[in-house]
Amino acid sequence: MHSTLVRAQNVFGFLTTVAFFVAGLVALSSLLYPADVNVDVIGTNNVKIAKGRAHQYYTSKVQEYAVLYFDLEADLSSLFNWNTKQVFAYVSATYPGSKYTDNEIVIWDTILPSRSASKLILKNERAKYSINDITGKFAGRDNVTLSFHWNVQPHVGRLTWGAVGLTKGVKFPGVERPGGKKEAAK
Amino acid sequence: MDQIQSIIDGFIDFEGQRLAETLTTAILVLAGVLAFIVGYVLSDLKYTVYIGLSGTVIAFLVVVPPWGIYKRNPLTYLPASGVQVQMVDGDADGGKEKEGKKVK
Repeated sequence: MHSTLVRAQNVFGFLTTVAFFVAGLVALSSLLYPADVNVDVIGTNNVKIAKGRAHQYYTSKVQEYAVLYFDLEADLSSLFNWNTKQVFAYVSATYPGSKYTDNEIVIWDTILPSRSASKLILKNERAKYSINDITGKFAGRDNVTLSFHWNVQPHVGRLTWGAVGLTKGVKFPGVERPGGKKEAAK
Repeated sequence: MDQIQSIIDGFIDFEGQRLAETLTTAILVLAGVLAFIVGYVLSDLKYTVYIGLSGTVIAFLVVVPPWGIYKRNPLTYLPASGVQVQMVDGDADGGKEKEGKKVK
């Protein structure tokens, strides 16, 4: 510590040590806030299957799309503490299949930037993303499950994920025909 | 020119070095602890960052310049005798540089 340069280096060196430990404590403090997410309502009673041409560069085949509207009421305020930067929340639909047995589609998502935006109340909200199956057909599938997922992004520390609110047994209806008749899937 | 050099070097005495070391540790640790507590209590990481940074600025201002309190115990050397002095073995570690200066 005899000269200016050495003192400056010493202060800066010890600063990095202190900063590292404070950041570590901040990351650990996230454990003091257990996630307690309430999903009061999640479900859909408005699903239609429509045929359409994919707006994708790799295929232009006609396939089935689900036009889905859903209800969601969730309170994520417990996820917001001093170390929360933002929360990413999304709704996914999971359904079984014969050739591909596990299918999951994210149908809607949002970024919650602050505690004041942490209550989600959605009524008859239209799915944000197009819902189609890898085989191109999924009319009449049973046991579609809607689930609500969240992902906390902290300022310091690790990302945490969680899922709650599963609705079992939503059924995708048959294909809607221009005439109004429905045709069940094979 | 020598004056500029001495300002840039900012040499301080041994007691001053001990004090500077203690102050660095104390100020930075205190700032870190205070930053964590205030941020936690007020539930905003912004305070943690700003208190931590202010502590760092204070530590730099207090420790880096060669303030008077770091120069209160100057070493007094024996007057130069003008005689060529032979370096004694066993005194080669800490005092070597200063011994060398003393000898003309």
